[in-house]
Amino acid sequence: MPPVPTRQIYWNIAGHDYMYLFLLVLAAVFLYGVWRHYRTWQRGRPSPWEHRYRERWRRFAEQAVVQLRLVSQLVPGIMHLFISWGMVVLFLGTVVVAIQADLHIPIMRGWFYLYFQSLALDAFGLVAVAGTVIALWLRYVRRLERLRKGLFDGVLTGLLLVILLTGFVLEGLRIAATADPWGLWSPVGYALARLFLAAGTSVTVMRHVHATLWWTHMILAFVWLGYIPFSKLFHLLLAPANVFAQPLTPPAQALPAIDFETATTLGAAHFEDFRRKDIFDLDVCTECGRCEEWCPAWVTEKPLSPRAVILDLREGLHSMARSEGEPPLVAGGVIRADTLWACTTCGYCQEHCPVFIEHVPKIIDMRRYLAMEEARLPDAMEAALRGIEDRGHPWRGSRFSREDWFRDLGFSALRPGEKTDVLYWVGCTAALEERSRKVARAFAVLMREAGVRFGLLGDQEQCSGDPARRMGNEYLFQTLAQANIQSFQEHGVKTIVTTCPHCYNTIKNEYPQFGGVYQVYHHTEFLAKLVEEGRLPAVAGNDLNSGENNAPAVTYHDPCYLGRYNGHYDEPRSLLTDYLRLDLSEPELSRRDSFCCGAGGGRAWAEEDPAHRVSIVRSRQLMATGATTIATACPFCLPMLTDGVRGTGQEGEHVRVMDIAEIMIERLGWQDKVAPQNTITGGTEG
Amino acid sequence: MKIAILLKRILDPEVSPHKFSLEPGATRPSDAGIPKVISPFDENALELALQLREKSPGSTVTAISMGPPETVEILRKALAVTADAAVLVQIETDPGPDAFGTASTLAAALQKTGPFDLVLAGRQAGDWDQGQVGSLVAEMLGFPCVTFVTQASPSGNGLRLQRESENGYDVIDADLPLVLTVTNHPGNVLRLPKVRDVMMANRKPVTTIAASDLAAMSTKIPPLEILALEKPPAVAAAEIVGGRDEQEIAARLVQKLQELKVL
Amino acid sequence: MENIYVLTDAVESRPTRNTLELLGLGHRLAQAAGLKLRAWLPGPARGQAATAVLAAGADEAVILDEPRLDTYQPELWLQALTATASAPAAVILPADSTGRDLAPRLAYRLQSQLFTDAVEVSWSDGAVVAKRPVYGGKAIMTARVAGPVVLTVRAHTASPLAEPKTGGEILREAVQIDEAVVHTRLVEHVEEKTEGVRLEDARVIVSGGRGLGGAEGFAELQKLAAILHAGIGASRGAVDLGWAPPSWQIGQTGKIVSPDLYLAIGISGASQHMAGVASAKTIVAINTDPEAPIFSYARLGVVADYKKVLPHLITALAAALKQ
Repeated sequence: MPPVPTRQIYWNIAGHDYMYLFLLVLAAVFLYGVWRHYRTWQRGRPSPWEHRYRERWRRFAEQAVVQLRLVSQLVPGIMHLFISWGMVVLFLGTVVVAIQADLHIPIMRGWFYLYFQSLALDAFGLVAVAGTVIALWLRYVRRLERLRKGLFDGVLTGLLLVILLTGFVLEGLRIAATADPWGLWSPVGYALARLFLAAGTSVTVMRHVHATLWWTHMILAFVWLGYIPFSKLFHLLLAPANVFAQPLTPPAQALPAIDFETATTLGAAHFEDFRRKDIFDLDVCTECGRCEEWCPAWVTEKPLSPRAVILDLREGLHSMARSEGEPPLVAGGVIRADTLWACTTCGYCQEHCPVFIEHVPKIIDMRRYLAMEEARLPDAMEAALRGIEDRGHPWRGSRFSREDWFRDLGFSALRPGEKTDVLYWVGCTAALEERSRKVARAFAVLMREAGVRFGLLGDQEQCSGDPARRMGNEYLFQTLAQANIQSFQEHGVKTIVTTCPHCYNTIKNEYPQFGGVYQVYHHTEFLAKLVEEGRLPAVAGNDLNSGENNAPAVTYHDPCYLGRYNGHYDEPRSLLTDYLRLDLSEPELSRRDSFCCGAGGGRAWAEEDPAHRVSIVRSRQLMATGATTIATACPFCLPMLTDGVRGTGQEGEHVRVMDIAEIMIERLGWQDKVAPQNTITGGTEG
Repeated sequence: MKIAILLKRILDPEVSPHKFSLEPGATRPSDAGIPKVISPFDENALELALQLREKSPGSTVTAISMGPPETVEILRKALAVTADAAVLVQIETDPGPDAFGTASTLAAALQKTGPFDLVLAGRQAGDWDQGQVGSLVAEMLGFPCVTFVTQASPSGNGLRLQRESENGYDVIDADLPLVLTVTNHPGNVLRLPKVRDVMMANRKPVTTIAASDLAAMSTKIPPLEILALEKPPAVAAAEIVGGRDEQEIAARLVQKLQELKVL
Repeated sequence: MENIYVLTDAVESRPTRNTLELLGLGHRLAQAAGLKLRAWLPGPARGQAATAVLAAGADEAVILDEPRLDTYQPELWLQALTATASAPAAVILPADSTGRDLAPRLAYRLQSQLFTDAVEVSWSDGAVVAKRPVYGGKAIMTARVAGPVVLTVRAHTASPLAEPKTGGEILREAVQIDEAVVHTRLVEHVEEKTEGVRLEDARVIVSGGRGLGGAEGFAELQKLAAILHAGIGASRGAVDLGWAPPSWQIGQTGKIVSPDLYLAIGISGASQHMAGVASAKTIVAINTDPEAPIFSYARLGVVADYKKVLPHLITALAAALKQ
């Protein structure tokens, strides 16, 4: 009867019990490291916690097990899957050994020994090796932009590779020296064993080398493990935890409200003012740099990198924990003020962070301190806030009133107390900004033609508060939110449709914090609904309509607050292709990867060096599709991209930027319905 | 230094021309639906007052405004940027163009709530644009006056001032007590209030004085007799110069300018 | 008999353009009212212009013969003017930084009415009737001022006499000055460097607003201004944003200019701004927005992006001006 397949544990290792001493040291170091972090996590204010555990486990499965976000970049994603799953299986192998050796439960035998402990471990070991090789290749050979190239940045991966390889060599030596009859089940070890035998290595030498290497391997592995809580390796534990613990309602989309009656500090002046989850986030960062890759501020050389914000905060937090002195000022100290003001709150960083760090709420928390406690903002942004305060809108110097754009179209504003079911919330920009006013006209006419009865607040409308909130003036935001909720109440509003994704996000996701709950539609969503209901005439033609020389007719720019913030990627596209029959060409960065126009977070009013404008970078990306019309769906993106296209010089001369509502008017041949009455029209360019 | 700052609440000067309406025969425009704001030059003056208080420890800033009860809104804004006290001189409607009447009421209010070492006002109110009240207050109080001031700092027993002149500026040393009228400058844009100060401003008291209770200096000078207040005559619209491209537009424009003999 | 007074200014023996306008206006008022026009010439240095002042319309040129009045010092000037104003029916001052500084205080001291920034002044039924823009130029106020009045009158709103007037008398009045009234002392006068031409004298002005999009836009404007030998102006919006210095500001609260050609680039045409260019002969506007109000003030308009038009315009102008 053939013997039961197994192997001897601790073969050739005299005094292997000393390992437990090392294990003890490792455990002590490890626990100390974790405790040190745990202490700093406790410094923050309590974080809210929604239960909804099914949802949490679903996200865990998607993002920690299958790692969808990581795989969105294929090679780095595979690299990570290889290493992480290799490590998990190898760790299970070690657990099996421990069960057998320390608990004396004989499980390391038979088919389990052959299929799992030998074959699977070898296979996953090889996968892990491949992963580390890819990782080192990406960092030092491919030199991936986002990865830091210092020797120390790759040393932990290198060490891991050494540990994995020594493991295989040990296995090979053992198989060779013991002439293991089951050796073939460990193909890598077996191959190495054949190599050693072929080289004529004597059993004595092999035993000698094996013993030395075993201790080396063990010590290196323990050092590596012990280093986990002191380095970015900590993400091995914290990242899955963070995936599980992520806020289920994104705080960037609905920023936490401040209770001004009870708040002691407004915004984050010190680490203590952050929520615990925000502090926890800092330790999760793996420095992978995905957040930075298409951060509009970073790409245009502004003093902001979302990665640097997290790492600087982490460094500040840890050095504070080490010293006893005054806690450092965070907003304007650890993180410079101009860094904070450079953020467009586009959300690219947190949408792409594989460990679910939330950058934007932290940045806004720090802005809150600067804006409210110190009243320190860049001049131009300050002027916008002052405009909101004095006149209810940020467009200082606008020569329009909120009722000017519709007067000649025959609409009128709701009278005091007059009820309406559907309210068209125009927003300051579409009402007052030169370029965007045409969008309001286009959309209002489309609704009228579709037979929608809707109300307009006219002069009773005030800023929704989004710019104030994103610039950090929560107080002003709450004042506006309450005033607007009151006028919705006065007019019996149940459904709100708006052309502005920023107002849309705020009214839909943030007004409920103050008791204002409505059915809120973005105009593209609403128009798609009207088309579906057949309330707008069909557009002629069956074929997709191309531009000149068969170039794509149109490309589409996803506004951040419509796409990333609220997931509306499809309605605008379906209007362009299915309804308007236009040939749509996607820019390289679209949908969740979309690159901001540069206007969010109050940046619409910030000074920007013309040589480094976000809008120009974005316009070039959109123009690279070859489309001559850039479609968008946001009154901020529209003038920003219009300027951006102009800023590209010659090539931009034949490119137009239009809102989808305007394109609909054009394709329907309704230009005369929106044309201004009784004003001068230019005789230029036909 | 005890500093008083005179603030006027006016119709938003940035209001859309469509909203600005004049009823026939009326001597002031309709204010329906138009926000009211602090007159822009008064904001510059307020900022200068706050800067002076910072440069001269122990100083106080008292904001004084004349108008109907709602005028308290702009006094709250002054309190929010940390003015120390606020005084409302209550009358029934917003002050009109009767500068002598306004100035004598304000001078009496300053005497009642003072004495002040320094009184600041905007160079002119953004509604009637007359540029009279500040200097008249100075005369009525018997104070010297410097107009079109952009910057000020304590110097000796008085102030060192920058005054805007036609092609630059004058540096002037002035004794206290003093009245300054202030014009806009990048260095005196009114600061943003801190939110805590805004919240506190709502709790700070505002002293109200009825104008009728003040022993205003009587002037024998009657108010202006307004014959008409009307919109300026409309002008013919421009001839738009077009063309295939910018080069052609430029060429045509130059040709037109030559025809008009303005080159 | 009552008098109408005009405060004059001169460079050596030549009255300033503004003085000529005010004397022309004063002369017409005096004729209509049957009063005498007296011109004040503060300080002996200005006295050199006495003959020219008479020719420009004054019946009497009153030289305030006190050397300390040669330079402007408001407290001393007020003292001198108050002391020498005899039976003033109207006192006309320029609406510039001197006249605006003096007018309210002088009116108070003379216990007379006050009307500032007049753009039209006439005599009707024994009283002055004057117009002035209010509400940033969104409205025009017409008022009747009975009794003595101090007026400030905007530059370029009145015309000098077409023909020199003959006759008249030069008077030297010794003025008693008490320096105890002086509480404000000039330490220094700083001229701001303006490239090119003084705005007030410029025949051509190139002016930019918020529509330029940034300070770099003004650099472009300078190229155009250099070709045209033009002065450079700015709207208040552009000044407030720090794109242009305050001394470039044109408008209700800036400089009042009257060039032959005013090129408004990226200026929307708010009434506050237009108040400063009301007397420009020809306004040309370049703006991207066809509905900008500037086009209702302008003679010629271009609806386009200035960045694209300007290079061509500079080339075309250079060629045209060479001929």
